Amino acid sequence: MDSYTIILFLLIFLGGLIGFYKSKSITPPVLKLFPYFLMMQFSYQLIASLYSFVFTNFKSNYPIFNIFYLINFVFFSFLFSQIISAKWKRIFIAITAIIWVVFYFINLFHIQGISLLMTYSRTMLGILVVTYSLLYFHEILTDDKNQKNPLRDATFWVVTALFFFYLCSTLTISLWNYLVINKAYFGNVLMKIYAFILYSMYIAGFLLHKNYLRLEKPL
Amino acid sequence: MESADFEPWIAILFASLMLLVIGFFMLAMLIVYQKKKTKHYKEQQQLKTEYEQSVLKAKVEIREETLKYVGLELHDNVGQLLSLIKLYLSRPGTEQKTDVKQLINQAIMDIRKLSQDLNINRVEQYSLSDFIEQELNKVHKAGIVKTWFDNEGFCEPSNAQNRLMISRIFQECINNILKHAEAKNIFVKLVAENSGCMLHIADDGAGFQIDAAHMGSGLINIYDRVKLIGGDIQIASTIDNGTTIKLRIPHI
Repeated sequence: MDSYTIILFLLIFLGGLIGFYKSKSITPPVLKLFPYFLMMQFSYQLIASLYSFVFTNFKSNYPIFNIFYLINFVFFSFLFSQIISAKWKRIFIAITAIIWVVFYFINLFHIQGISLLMTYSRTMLGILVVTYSLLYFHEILTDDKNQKNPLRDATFWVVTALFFFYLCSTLTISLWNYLVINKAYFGNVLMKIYAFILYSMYIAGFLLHKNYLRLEKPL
Repeated sequence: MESADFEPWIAILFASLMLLVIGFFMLAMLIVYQKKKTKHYKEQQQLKTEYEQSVLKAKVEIREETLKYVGLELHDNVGQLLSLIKLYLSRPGTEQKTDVKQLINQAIMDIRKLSQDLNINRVEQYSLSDFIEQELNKVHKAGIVKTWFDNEGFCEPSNAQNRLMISRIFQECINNILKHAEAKNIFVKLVAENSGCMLHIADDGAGFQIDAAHMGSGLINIYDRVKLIGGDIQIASTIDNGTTIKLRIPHI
């Protein structure tokens, strides 16, 4: 494990702690689950890294990531279905989430299997999260009733972070074979940069969040 | 070796580019938010101005109605009494003294009543049910139309301006009935409900065809005022079967 990976773990852990600290004032309620999600991210990524780099001699940790793709996607689809209010968008999320889960199991048992990194499922996950994020942005741009400052809303930060992380990382994975420079090094550095930005934006969202519901109550 | 030196710069460049894109994206969202906020603020201001103008207009209309009523009463009632007193006094006779005294007392009572009606701020001083009762008494007193009032529960807008608007809506409805309906009875019911109050006004008059295209300014004013207080109005009418108006007054 290099120092960048350790800093990244600390960042995820810090995000989780700040999330727990601010969870009372965080709205909508689904975002209260986010610190638990971050702690889960911290735990499984730490276990995966320790397994490969400390306990074994660079043995593949892909099975751990493959299992957590499913958990991550279920959480993301639930998160988006809760923060998006338009009925047709929620139905779209539910249908595509079911299709993804079915495809995940087909990929797991019949195509790539658990020992390889399930890139097909990962790419589909990335495309879906980017689509869900666009649905969210469409909603906040077209909803006249929404008077929240996006920069003081944790949901906006979380969705923006997810949008850019999955957009860039999915493009990087898709274009992996076309990279002319040192793939392993460059890809690794890029993924770390994306992850740094992702977790930093989560933390920024929690810290900048303003509880509009509390402010609307009469004094 | 060259490639190893080059790669960190590409990574830094890529990261900076990504941060720049995210920055622009957030800035764009912030600009959209500011525009929406400004638009919302302007709409709120416009609504506030419209509401204030409507309150002012309602106040002026109520004053005009009051002055018209007082003028008519002075002419038809007090004027007649004073003429009668003058007639009695022009024929001297001791037996008429008590009649004259009674007439003068009646005139004093009527003038006292009129001076109460002349109190321009009575809408703000009286409760909504009291105002309705007073207005119906005036109509009833004229003797052409019978009025019925049923008041269930406590129904009182806390905001004096909204009370003024509701009073004016009620007055406008009654005026419409007197002008156009040729009704014999007016039934009014004020009921307190969980979500606010319900004011029912019904008559057994000629009724009319509800047609938005031929809606008079009186009805348009009623709809506008109801909208401004956040209420809801339903008008049901058929020819020869009278008209029913249901005004839902929110908790205000």
